[in-house]
Formats: sequence, C-alpha cells, structure tokens
Amino acid sequence: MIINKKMESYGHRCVNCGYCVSFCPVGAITKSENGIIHFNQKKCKAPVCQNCISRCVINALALSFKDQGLTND
Amino acid sequence: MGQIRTIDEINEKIAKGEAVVISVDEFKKLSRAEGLQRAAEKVDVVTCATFSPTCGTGIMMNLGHTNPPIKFRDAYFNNVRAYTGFTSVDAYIGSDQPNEDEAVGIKYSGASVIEDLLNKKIVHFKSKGFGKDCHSYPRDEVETYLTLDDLNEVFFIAHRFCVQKGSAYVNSSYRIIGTYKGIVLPFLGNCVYTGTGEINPLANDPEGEVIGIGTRVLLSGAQAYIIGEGTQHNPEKGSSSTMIRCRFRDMDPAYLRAAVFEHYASSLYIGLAVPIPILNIRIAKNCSVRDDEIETVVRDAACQELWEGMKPIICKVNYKDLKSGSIALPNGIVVPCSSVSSIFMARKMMTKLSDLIKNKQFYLTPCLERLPQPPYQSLKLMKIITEVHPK
Repeated sequence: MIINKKMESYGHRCVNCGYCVSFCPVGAITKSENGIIHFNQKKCKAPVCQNCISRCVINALALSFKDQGLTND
Repeated sequence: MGQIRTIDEINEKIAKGEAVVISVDEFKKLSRAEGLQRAAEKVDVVTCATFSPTCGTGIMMNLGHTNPPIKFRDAYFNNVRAYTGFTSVDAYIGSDQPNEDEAVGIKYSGASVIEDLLNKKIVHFKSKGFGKDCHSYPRDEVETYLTLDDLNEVFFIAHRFCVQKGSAYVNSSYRIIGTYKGIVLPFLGNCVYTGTGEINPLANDPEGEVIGIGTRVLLSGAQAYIIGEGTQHNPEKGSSSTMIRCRFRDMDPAYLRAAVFEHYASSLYIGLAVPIPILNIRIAKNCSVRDDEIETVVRDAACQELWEGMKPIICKVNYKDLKSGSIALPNGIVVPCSSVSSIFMARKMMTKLSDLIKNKQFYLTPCLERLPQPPYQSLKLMKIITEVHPK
C-alpha cells in the first residue's frame, strides 16, 4: 500500500512534550516558544523514516492516510 | 521575615472575588519589571505546575460485594494483575504493572487500565476467591465486565510525583538504552531529561515552606491533597517529591495518558498544579527562581555500576541549557536534548488553577506539617546478604 507522506499528530492525545524533536534526523519537528510542536511537511521524510512515530511514548503520532481516502482513526 | 498576608486573608479575598492570582511565569516577569517587594505586595497567589510521566501511581478501588460474597485471592483487569492483599473486595492496581501476557507486556499495562477506566471504557475483570476455606466469603471465582460507574470508591494515589529536579542522561555505549526519561541513543547521540524547571512547584518552594502535608492542589483536574513526602524524597540533593491523593472520578482524562517507555517500562502522564500563597518576601523570592539558577547533572546511563547510589556524573548543566534543545558535553560534543515532560500542558494546568481560584471554586489550605527537610536520612542501597547467622 502506498501511503501519503504527511505526518500528523493526534491532537487529542499529543501532550506537546517535544520528546520527538531530538529524534528527527532532518529537523522537521520544532518546538515553538509557547511549547507547541510543529511538523514541517516539506522537510519530513515519512514514510521512509518514521522515527518520531516509533519514539512517541503515548502513541500520539501517525502517518496520515487522508489523501488516499483512507482514515487513521 | 515580615508577614505580608495570611492564608485566611487570601481566602477572604477569594470569597469576595478580589484575590490577585497569576501564573509563576507572569510573577517572574513582574518581579523583574517592578522589583520583588512590589510584586509580592501586588500578588496574593502564584500558580505553578508540572506535567510528567511517573511510574509511581495507582488506583485503590472497592468493587462491591458479589452474591454470594467473595474475598479476592487475586484480581486481573484486562489481564493486568492488581494487588488484593487487604479487605475482601478492595484492589489496588499500579501503573507500572505489566500485562500477564508476555507478548503484550508493557504495551498494555496498569497505566492503560487506569486510562481506560477514566475514559469510561469497559474493562474485563476476573478474580479467584478462597472458596470454602473462607466461611464468610465462600464464592470460588468471579468474571465480569466493568466500567468506572460500576465501582464504589476509587482513589488515585501518586506515591512519588512532582520531583523537584532530575538528572539528565546521555549514553556513551554502543547500544540504545531505555530509561524512565526515554531512549538514550548510543555514542552520545542525545540527552534526555524530565521536569519543567522554573515552573515546577517544588522548585519554587525548595524549603517546603508552603507545600506540605494537607496542601490542597489540583491533580490532573481534580482537587487533591498532598499526604506526605514521595518515595525517594531527597531534599539534600534538591530532589524533593510529594505523595498525593484524590478522588479518581474527579480527574480529567485530558490530563492523564498511559505511556510506554521502550526497553524500560510503562508509565502514566499526570499533571499537578499547586497554588503558592505569597505570605512573605522569602516565598516571593523563591518564586522568582529562573531556569539558569536550577542546576542539575548529566549522568551516563551506560554505566551499570552505581556510584554513591547513582550513575556517574558527566557534567553539570542548568534547565536553561536543557530547554535550549542542545547541550555541550565536556569533550566538546554538542548533543540534542529533549524532555518527556510537557511545559505546554503544565501551563494549561496553571491557567486552569488560576481560573478556579478566581471563580471561587478553589480555596487555599495551610500546610499542616512540612515535608522532611535536611538533615534527612540519605537514600540507602538495598542490603543483599546470602546467609543469616542467628545469635
């Protein structure tokens, strides 16, 4: 199955701890001054990498399937 | 030290809707802009918070009697074992208890059961009794499905939470190492730490002047009480902690998450917001502490041997360095660092507590007894002996 490379956080589950930031090899995840995590979709290498997905301790991250008409819910 | 106000006076102002309540972030800015004395005179209460994963939590519950009655010999919630070594139908489930199925292990643990119960999900329950050995509780076993609404009293207990500050970890070995702060990458690949630094409640009251036994606090949305010092409370090393208790049903699922720390264990994210009454200038001064004044140490997680009860120290850092996203080690290597604690959620909790106080829904309590202060018994390693020679 081909999946879209869009990385998403489950807004209801993510606590914005920023633990994923230091594991991103391309610096696509950043933490803003107010503590909120941002994904730079252009820099992100998903689905090749997925480092942040495997590291997130509360399963708050997933690849988005929405563009293929699939859902990750 | 001159008294500025008392807790009774603050509670009177809360009742009239006149109390000045701000977050500790705002208080630090105010004291820098207008001076400590002026800030202390202006502000009645400062709210501090932390939001971190902790293994030291669990829920104590009463499940109600069966008919005919049973006395639990064991108990399993979604195949996670609970402790039942007390009264007939009471059980305690700890967040760090792994699943009985080894293939599942820490992926669905006590923390997951606690989260599911709070979210009103259906949980499978089974227990064996003592049967005919126990005349008053003759039932042999019970198996059913439960939700939180089916239980009687349920209390949430945090045995060790709100640790003042913790060590950061790096890893000098060639293997990844799982810790309670997250994965530490090999060859000094990263640095992990916990804690919210200058907004942590105990960092703003290091002498335990106002945070002690009996202090009313907000634990993941529920009004709770500090019931003592946490396990491994170590004020001498700036590592104080608290033990807290609240009604589980009052907790808000938005502030509670089960977590899985790869190659380590399961854990539970909870948040604690504490009101600090500005009673005198010393308390105000403590509340103006900044990240660059809170020092901690970086330890090497790779070392299997403990030195003075802890992993060996690599260097000293402060929370400003850690929060900057990278630190420089003594050998010149700059490593990225990240925390599993959430400052974003902690700030949300501070705002929530401020709003509750302003809306007259939260009043302050005096601390009945201070948490133990230095000199305090230092933490001992376990004594391991192979033989006992009776006298």
